[in-house]
Amino acid sequence: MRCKDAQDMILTGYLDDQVSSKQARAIHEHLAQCGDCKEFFERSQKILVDPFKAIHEVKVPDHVWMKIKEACQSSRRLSWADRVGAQLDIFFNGLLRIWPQFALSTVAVCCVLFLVLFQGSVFNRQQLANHFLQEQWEYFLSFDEETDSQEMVVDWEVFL
Amino acid sequence: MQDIDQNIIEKAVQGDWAAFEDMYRQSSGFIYSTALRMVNHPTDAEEITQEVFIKIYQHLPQFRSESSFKTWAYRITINTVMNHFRKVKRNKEVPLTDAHDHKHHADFVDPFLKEEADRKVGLLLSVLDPGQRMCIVLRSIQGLSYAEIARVLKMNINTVRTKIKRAREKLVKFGKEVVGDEM
Repeated sequence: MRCKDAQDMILTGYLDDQVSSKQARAIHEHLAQCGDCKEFFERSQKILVDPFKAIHEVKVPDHVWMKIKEACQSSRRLSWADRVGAQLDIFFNGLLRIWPQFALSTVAVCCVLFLVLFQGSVFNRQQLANHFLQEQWEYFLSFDEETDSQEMVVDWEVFL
Repeated sequence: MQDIDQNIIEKAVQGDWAAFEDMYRQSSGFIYSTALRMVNHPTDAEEITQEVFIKIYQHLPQFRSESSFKTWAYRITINTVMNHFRKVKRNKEVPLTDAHDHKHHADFVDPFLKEEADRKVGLLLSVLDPGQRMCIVLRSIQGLSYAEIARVLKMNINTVRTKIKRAREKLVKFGKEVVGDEM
């Protein structure tokens, strides 16, 4: 093993106990015969491991929780609509997670139904309009007896 | 990295305040300690912790249970810390760290960290840039594996390994100079 490889490995996996047993053995053997790398390892241990092991655990001051509680509760009071939205979000996320195919096919069926109903309503409206115009036209013609309504050619599409 | 029980998370999502407090009790320690080691200033670390928990509270319904809560919480913490650094940099126009500026190192260490090991760690971390410091805090203080750090920082594991290696090279190089002869 070259010194550079050994030192690279010391700085990452070896100091963190994240090397294979084979790699660890190779480093042990190298350190046993290389004074420079042994010194490098001891210095690394002293700077990179020992101080971090010796630090004490920090405690969160009590007032932090009080401030968080206050901020969260005031936001909760204000935004019930957001919470309803969040619940819907959970529902739809859950549906997508559990059964994405079902969710997608439901959306597709909804789209098709919407199109069919929409087209139908347009068609119905067109028929009603035709009927209304026909009635109106016949009503106007009834005032003029000299007019031969049979000769009138009406392009209904113009009105629609 | 011990995670929070799924039932507690679900209760908190439903608006159970006691469950949310339970989550806080279990996770505030690592969030505060990560923030403190990153910014090395207790008041700033407290503010970051508050901000992180308010974000957790607001976005908990969007948390997807297939990922670990702690990974998610670490990610929010790291983002909040990085925003804090950006804000500080914008407001004060002061570089975050300069490994060669000893005066800056002396200013960086807060008297709050009285114990010797804490002082040394504060000094050592001050020579690193925020990205490297983050990796070292997560690895050497929080004890996350390389894979966990990669998940938290959304990085490739080899990038994490490289960052840790470069950070440690810097620490070995400047450690004695920064901390003194005791190392």
